[in-house]
Amino acid sequence: MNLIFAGIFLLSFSLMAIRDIMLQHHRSSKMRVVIYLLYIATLCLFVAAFYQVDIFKPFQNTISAFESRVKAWMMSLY
Amino acid sequence: MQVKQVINHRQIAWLTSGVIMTGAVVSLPQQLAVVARNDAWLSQLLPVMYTVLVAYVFERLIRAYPGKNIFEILIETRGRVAGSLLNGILLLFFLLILLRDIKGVGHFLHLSLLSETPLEIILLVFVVVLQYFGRSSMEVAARVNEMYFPMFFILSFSMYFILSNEYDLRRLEPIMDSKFVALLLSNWMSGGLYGDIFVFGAFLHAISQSRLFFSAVKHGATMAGFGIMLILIIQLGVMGYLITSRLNYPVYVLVEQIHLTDFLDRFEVMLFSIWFPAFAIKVVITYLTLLIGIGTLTRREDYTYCNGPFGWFVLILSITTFPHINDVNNFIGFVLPVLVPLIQWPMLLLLFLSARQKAGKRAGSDQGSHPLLKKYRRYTRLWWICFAICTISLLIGSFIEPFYGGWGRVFGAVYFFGFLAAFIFSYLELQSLNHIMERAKSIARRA
Repeated sequence: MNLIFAGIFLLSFSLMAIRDIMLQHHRSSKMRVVIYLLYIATLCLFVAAFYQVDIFKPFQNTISAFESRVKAWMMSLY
Repeated sequence: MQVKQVINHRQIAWLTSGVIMTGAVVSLPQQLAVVARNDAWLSQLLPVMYTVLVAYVFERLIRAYPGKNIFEILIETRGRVAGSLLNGILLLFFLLILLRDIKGVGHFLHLSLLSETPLEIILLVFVVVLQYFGRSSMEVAARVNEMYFPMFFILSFSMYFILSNEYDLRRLEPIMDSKFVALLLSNWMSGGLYGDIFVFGAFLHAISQSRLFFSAVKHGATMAGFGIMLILIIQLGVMGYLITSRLNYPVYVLVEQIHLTDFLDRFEVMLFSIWFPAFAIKVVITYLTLLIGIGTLTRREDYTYCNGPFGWFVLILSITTFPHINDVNNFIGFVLPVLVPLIQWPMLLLLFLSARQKAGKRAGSDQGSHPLLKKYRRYTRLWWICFAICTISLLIGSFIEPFYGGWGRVFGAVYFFGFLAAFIFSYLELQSLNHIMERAKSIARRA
């Protein structure tokens, strides 16, 4: 991952997270849960992407296999 | 609480066209050229019909559930649990569309125009634009689209004349030589991208006149179908199907062929600077759809609250998914055409049945013998006749062509002009319906 990107992203991300924590009493409890879940998921994905852990590989392999199957089926039609 | 938004018929038509066309012109030609070869331009008929079907169901929903969007309707009709589950599936589908578009444009800009800029930075800038629009509403996106989409559409038309020195009609021949199955498959493949029209479900609460919405989406879809067909004709006429099927971005290479004197050597930069904002609006619409969906699931809370974290989530997700350009292209060509029938068709049926149950039969505002109504009915009928002519010419042409080669050209011309006529009639239908609405409003005001 590009380090300049990582720096800009972490700075903006943390500033926005601080703002949302400060304003949390303006949101309903359900919205607060959604917002925090989004932040946590983003942070986990960022760490995985930064250390080049390919967490989506099995999913991507499944999609690729599916694509190949559809392609083969389409080509077999004519 | 959802923000009150109102958009007019012209904005709906142009947004529909923009949502379908701006993405399709870049990513679709290659896949279509692989399947239908030089008949790839005949691939827009069934997808346009499908879009009209979606518009019809949405029209019924607007009538049956005024002021509600598709997420709220699903919860109301299917209950909290099943409705939320269906909304979750729909949101996942929209998220895939959003990631496809963001990563697709990222790869495209990185490979063609900004080769030195890191992909992550391109994605970051794009997502920041989305977050900016995420603070506003559909109205803002619709207004920006009104500035860029007409220019984009006119330029797509003018490409035929700009590239006339490179064009050779013989590259399209033999017309309708592909097997009927190939034509059917190419139509089915295009249907994947036309499935993006479902994003309008999130804005049903912003539509006040359901019949006008139907005509506007019909016109927008016909416009998009005709525009894509025209670009495919230019593409195949300039480069042929063999080169088109082997390039990742055939339209980019096509635009690079434009040489308007030595002063306008980099004409493609100008063209892409008009295409890009139009495409960005399409992505903004999908982004807003997702925000509205999340807002609805959290019980009608203002969707702008989760704009920031959702933008970052989409950014990081887009970095980790679709690592190669082929992944995006294969997803568009071979996964979306399966996902659309799997997700959208059952949902459309469910929604249609619910709307039918709630509102009964479609109320007829087209009864009566006023000249404006007659005009509207005539244009509606003519649109259907044009599409029937296109379908018949495609069917007969593909069966006759192997035996009598010359007839392929004749039926191809009938198909083209039938589509053009449908495009014109859809516009006239929309205009006449708008006049009827205006007249009805002025009468109501006087009364």
